[in-house]
Amino acid sequence: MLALKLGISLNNIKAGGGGGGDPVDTMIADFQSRVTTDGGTTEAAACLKTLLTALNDIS
Amino acid sequence: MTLLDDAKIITTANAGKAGTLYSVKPDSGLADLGITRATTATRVNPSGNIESVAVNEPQLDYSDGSCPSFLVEPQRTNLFTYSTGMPSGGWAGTATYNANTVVGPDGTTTGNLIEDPSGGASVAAYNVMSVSASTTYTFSFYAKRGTMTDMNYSILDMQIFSYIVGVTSFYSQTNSSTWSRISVTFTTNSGTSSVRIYLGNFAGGTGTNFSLWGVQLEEIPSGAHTDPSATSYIPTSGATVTRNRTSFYKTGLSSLIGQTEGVFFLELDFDFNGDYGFISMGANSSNAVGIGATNSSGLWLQALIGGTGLNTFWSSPGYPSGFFKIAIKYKSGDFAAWLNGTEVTTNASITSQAKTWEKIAAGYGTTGSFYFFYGKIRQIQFYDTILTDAQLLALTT
Repeated sequence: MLALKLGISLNNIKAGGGGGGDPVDTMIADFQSRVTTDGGTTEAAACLKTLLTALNDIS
Repeated sequence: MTLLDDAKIITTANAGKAGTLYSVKPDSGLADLGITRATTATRVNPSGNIESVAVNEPQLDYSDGSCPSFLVEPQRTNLFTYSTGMPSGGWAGTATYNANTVVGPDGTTTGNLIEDPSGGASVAAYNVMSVSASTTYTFSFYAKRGTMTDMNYSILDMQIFSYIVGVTSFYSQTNSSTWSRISVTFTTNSGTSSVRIYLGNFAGGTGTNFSLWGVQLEEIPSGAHTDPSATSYIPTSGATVTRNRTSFYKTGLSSLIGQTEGVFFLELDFDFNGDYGFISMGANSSNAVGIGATNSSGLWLQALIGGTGLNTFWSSPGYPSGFFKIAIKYKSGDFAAWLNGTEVTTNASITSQAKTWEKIAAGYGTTGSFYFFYGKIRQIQFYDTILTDAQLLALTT
């Protein structure tokens, strides 16, 4: 059962590009995927993470 | 819940393509900004090199460091017909030109080595440029130190043979390992029709040299948008080139912008010293909320409700220097603005915002068609409810 749960968790992370993990990482992964699919380019992911993390720290 | 959850629109300078600056939120793409610029342009890329960007492509620019900003510029023309590849384009003088021998800021070998061949009293390259009388121009170029112990520019009025800009050293603004952009703004005299622009070392020095790339002469229009700063590099090769202005505009945002209350947040650097310039959220020609600059007195925050301008002319902080964070909180009877962590103005007399707020524009009016914004943008955010003072403090700090 433990192995099964672990497998499901890892699959979720891989499929979601970070899903189930840090919401900022998930948002960035989804954003990058959408942009790439649309023919655009993304850059400076570290800068974006800093910005979004700051927002995520304000409750 | 955090502000990352609460924000309805988050737009940053992290992704684009021709015609689009992508917004991180919403993920549907509804708030992706439409970008218009009818010509190519240039930017400083993540590697620090200058590169071309396509027509309508946003300039995600790294001039200010390792994180990008969205560059929104006015139309300008480079009046030099050859921005590289000297001595093409009318350059003359006592200097020796070793064209296309130095790797320039764009990573290509298009830089020039300007050398003193004889050790005379002075060495200079010069170019005679046609200009208009009583008009302001900005001359800019990229330079890198070589073996010259000084480097100078000057600008001579060819009608009266008098310096408009005297011999000025730019040596201290340069170094030997990286390219530095130097610029000088000058205004011609009432009878000036041509100027001679000099670059060199007026003290001379046999065999000494420096590197030069990317000369640019821009006319600064009188009146609107008179910020004299050199704009992004405009490459030329045989003719003058005009880079058109950049604008952005997005409509159909009524489901994301708060209709009766909300927060409009920007992190940006205005091009001040210019005309009025706004970024606004709007409903129609009679209803808009704008964050902008006046032509003289400082920041200008405006809530135009029901066709009656409730203006908050806000001049006491002056013009913030460099990038700053600003948020407008709007709700019936509860209007406030926060700048860099301080609540700087409040207004309780706005009684209604019951409009269909659905646009964002780099300008003012129904379609952002006047008071154009120019500057650099790092973030745009919208919330559809007001935030607490603690949240606004944290957001703008």
